[in-house]
Amino acid sequence: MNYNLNFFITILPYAFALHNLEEVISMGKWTKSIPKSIHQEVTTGQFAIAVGLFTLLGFVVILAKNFFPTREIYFLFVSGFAGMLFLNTFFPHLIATIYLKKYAPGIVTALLINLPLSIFILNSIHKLQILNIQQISLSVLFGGLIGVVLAYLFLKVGYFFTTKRWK
Amino acid sequence: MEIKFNWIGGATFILSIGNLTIACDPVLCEKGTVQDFFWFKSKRIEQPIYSENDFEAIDLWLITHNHEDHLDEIGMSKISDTAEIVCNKNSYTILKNNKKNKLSVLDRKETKTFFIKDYTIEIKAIPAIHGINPLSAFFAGKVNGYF
Repeated sequence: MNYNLNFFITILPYAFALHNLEEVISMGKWTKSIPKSIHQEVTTGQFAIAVGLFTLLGFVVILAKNFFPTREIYFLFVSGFAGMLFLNTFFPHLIATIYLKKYAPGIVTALLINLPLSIFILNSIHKLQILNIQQISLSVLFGGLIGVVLAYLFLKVGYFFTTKRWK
Repeated sequence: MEIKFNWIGGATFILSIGNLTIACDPVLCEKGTVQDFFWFKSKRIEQPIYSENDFEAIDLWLITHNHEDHLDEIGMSKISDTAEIVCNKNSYTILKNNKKNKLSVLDRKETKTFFIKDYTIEIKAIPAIHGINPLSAFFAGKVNGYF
């Protein structure tokens, strides 16, 4: 179980990268096709920069395993990361797909890869008694919140690099 | 000799030297217009200021490149058929398709001399960077500046 857990934690950022790639491919077009009240229009470049930074951060968290002060702190970060992907499957991908009754960028990898992978990781961390249920719940919650804040910030960075405002 | 410089907005300006008039990049879209280049977006945040007759007597147009935030549909309609036009390679086709015939394509560092009215004008295309940062400049590609 522990061996499997380490393996699946290692592939977590790759799954995240694949998911981000699926999003990048059609996000620009998709945001143009839906009401602005649901999602602000973004260009492919802006979104690519944002998710590129996100992906990089995901790899840093997982690859920096040996630099965390304790094993517990590392798994709090892993739970946060997995929790963010878990919540992200529902908010916004699944809800957007159901509400708009059409494909939402990222829904395929979110449902087929991120959701089972994050559930397996969170469940394993609990079963192996690495973290207790309260710690996992808080990590998932914070992971989701931090994810939203980072998405906002990274989209701002993307906007800065890809949008020219001229007089 | 009177020299007048009239900045219309964005990259558009009209330079009058005596009775010779030179203008650059006609982009006259409304404030708030967004040009979407797939990877990048360009948003006009001020209204261009001009009157309809400002562009009537332009002798020479300088076109840096063909992106819509430098050469748009309204701007294209202001280029008269009698005006000389200096452009870069990538704006040649769009100008030609809009029936602009007096076109001179200048690659970077190339020079061309024009004899207009009583003036001899030497225009040199110089390398220019178009973009808000090195990344967007890379994607925007080569554009001309003029000297």
